[in-house]
Amino acid sequence: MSVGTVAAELAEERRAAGDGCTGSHAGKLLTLEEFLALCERPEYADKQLELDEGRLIVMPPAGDQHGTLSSWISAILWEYAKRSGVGRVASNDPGLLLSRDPHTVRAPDLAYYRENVRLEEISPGLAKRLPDLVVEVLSPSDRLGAVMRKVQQYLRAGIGMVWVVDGESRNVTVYRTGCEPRVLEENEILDGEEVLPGFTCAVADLFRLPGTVSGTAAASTVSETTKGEQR
Amino acid sequence: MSVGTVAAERAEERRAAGDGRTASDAGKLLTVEEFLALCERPEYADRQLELDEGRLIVMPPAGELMERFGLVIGLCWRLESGEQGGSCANDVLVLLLSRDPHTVRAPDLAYYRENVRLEEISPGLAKRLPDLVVEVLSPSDRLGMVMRKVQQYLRAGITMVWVVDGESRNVTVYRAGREPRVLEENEVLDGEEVLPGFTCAVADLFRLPGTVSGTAAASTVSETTKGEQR
Repeated sequence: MSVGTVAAELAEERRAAGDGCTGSHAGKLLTLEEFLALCERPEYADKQLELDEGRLIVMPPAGDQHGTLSSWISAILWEYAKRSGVGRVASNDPGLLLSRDPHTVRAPDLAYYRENVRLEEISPGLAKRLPDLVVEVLSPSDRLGAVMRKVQQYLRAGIGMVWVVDGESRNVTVYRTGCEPRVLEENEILDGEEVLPGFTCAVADLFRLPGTVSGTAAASTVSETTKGEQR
Repeated sequence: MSVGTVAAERAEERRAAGDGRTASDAGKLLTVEEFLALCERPEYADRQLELDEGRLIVMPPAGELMERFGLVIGLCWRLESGEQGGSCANDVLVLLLSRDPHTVRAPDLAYYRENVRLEEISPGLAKRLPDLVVEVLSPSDRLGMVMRKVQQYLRAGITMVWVVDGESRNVTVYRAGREPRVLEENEVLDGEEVLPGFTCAVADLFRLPGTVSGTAAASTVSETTKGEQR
């Protein structure tokens, strides 16, 4: 998810309701075709767009930490795909059509497909089928209610597993269809279950970039160093 | 939940790890008795404290969030005036959710499906866990922290948790062993078997007595402004 998702959404809604110049008039729901046409407009060139039951959502570009964390988790998933010989990872907010009438198009941070396909077989536009796993990396501005709405839309569309990664709280919440969510902290293990058979990763490793120690350990080291210098 | 939960928690952890003078030394986990003693200290007089698996969490006063309180009180009134009976407690109440390590949480609202006289209610830790817990989000709440709290409530045996998001204008209902359900303003919040007969339009949760809903109010204001400009 990107910085300012909800603020942008609210601002956009107010703007749409106020001047009515955009395609998303108050009360008028966008169709998929109208949404895809909007995505081509120059004023949205650097924005991430989503469609929530016909309502346009505009998100500004994501923050640096968000981008890095998403990319790192993508690398971990690719490593699994290479090792197991199955699957592919889509990043940079691939568009997924989650519902029709009204239309919902969401763009998760990462999507994992348990399939072996050649690059030419992958759609240049909206995904042809829904992924097996979706990963959302939180931004500081994300609101729980909006995130939960998105998670519900993924699960109801038939995506079997959703990971919501919170870099600040340092945990991952795993959502499965029909199940209670499970929160995994840094001392726990993220398991791919039957969606990614054989995948396991310590939650702490999700938050530790190559060549560094974990955030908490690094913080106490810094604290020690500072103390030493003061003496 | 209060403003700055996470920032405060982080700051507290750093402080505890840094100077080691508080009861929550790095590595040392607090018991519920130590926690309750800390709550009595003058420096924490205006703070909401929680204990998360032995680690102290300090939350600043909720401050300007009158909307939040209005919401809690409004919901409380709706629950108590319903046919199902029962009683509500908010914030002052603390719940012991786990032992060794100890977890003590202070939900915004707890609903007990029981009829008791005021004198029978414990002034400190609740004697038993409520049937429903309601958390009203603050802008600073982090999703991961909230989900951790929800998980602790459910694992402790609380049947139902409602998380109310005033900005997203929805309520998420959590039940043990089930997928969470997000209810938007055009949907109805149902008490299920926990609060039999309780129903409330989600939109009504966000509409204080004598007012119209936020969205409608905003457009009214906008109309008024336009009128004045002419």
